[in-house]
Amino acid sequence: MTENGSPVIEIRDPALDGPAIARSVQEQAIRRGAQGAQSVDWAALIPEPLQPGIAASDSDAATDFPGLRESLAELIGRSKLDEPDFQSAVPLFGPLIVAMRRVWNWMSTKWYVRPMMAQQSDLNARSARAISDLAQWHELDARRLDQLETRLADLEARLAQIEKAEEIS
Amino acid sequence: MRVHQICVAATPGDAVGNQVLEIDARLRAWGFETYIYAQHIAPELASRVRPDCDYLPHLHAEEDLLIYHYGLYTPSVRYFQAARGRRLFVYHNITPASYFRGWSRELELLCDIGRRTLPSLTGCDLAIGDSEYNRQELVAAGFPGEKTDVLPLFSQQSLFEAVPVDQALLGRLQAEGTVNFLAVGRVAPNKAIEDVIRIFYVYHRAINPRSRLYLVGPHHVPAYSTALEALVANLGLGDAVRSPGQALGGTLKAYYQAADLYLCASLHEGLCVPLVESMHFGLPILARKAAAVPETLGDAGVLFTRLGYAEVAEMAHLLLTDEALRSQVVAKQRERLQDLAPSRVEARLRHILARLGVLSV
Repeated sequence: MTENGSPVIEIRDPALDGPAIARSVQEQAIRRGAQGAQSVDWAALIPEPLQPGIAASDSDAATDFPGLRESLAELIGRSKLDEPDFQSAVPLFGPLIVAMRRVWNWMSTKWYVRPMMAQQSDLNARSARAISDLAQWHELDARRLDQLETRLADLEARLAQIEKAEEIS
Repeated sequence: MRVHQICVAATPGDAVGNQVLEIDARLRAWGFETYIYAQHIAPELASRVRPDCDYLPHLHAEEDLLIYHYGLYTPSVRYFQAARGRRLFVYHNITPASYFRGWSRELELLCDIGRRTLPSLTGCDLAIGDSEYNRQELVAAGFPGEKTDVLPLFSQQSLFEAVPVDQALLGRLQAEGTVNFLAVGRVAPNKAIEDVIRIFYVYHRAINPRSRLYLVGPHHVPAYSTALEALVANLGLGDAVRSPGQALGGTLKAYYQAADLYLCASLHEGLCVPLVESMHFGLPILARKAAAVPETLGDAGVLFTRLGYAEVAEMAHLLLTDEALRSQVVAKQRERLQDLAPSRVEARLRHILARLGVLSV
């Protein structure tokens, strides 16, 4: 009942004698087996995983698109338009010039340019999201294509075998 | 301060969705302005959760915190990559694609791409797993170890206490007078439900024919579910194995209360929530020693290291019949439950927010 010498049952509670319980369970299982648990079809319990019905591919090259994910992230990151910050290198009067430009810019753009900037930012973000979604489907389709190619190759190989067998017969 | 949380799905009964709501409740209590976004939103959560594209206007808010929950690939990962504020990445684990190979192309592909995307998400302020097992996967994917942490899931004990049990169902389950094995969770290949069925088969045939196995959980992989049905039929278990589908609230509570043993054969778990729920309901646990299952149990429960069907079935029998052993196992499980108590997880969340500099401990 035990393989590789290690017990099947493991109890880690220090208040319990785990090894003794594991031994007792093992002995009981042997006794029950010896008494004849004929009602159990042990052959049906061979620990094989259930068999999936779909052929599968192990290839992982098809979904490697270097830089795609990063560039999509960058696209989304740049989707919002930023207003430039004013600076002036003029000594002494520089901060005053900057302040005046800021006030003028605020006044001149508030009701006309900024709403358009917001619209454009929103459009950019939603476009970036749509491209991102398309990229995801592209990745999924690439994997599907890879799997289909694997299956096709498998079917072609089988067909070739059948044709060869027919030729021989 | 604004805190945004993005997750794939906000649906009742979903472990990730529950965690998002629990975190949100704490953040609000601590004075944060909070928002939740998801790609799939259940109608009953529509008033609390917004579509994930609604996050876009906040993408450049440098003073905001984005908590991004990652458990399945979704295009919203780009938002996380592009966000300019502080970023907390929460990894709930993605099942390795190989488990779905041959069963579901869609899930295999999504899991595959989800895991491949992980290394491109490392540039965040902090990354956390909901178990040490998940944290180690983050490090293996390239996240700097010193920028990782663990935040266990908030257990739903109070929710279970608040909701009334489905008395009619509980009555029906108990009226049969059978020994009831229980397994809860998605019916998916990584859960190795076929092994649960085989262990139960040995117990049912060799030890106690007056027994039932309840497999409670949603069926997301039709081909796998069909194969399980065929296995049950081939083993001649018929009515002894019952798979009622997903159960929530009072219905789920009835299944836990009517059960005598929790059996888990899962091969891959990032953190096994049904084990925590079983601890809450005082149900002895017999589980496969795999992935994050031993970490979830701590020193509690009983593990099996491989499929010695006869021994695992005998161990189940012992847990069901040896009152002293059962009491000690259940007591140890309750002790373990204290480690996962909401107050401790809450303290852990405070610690994580302090690491991000948005809250003092």
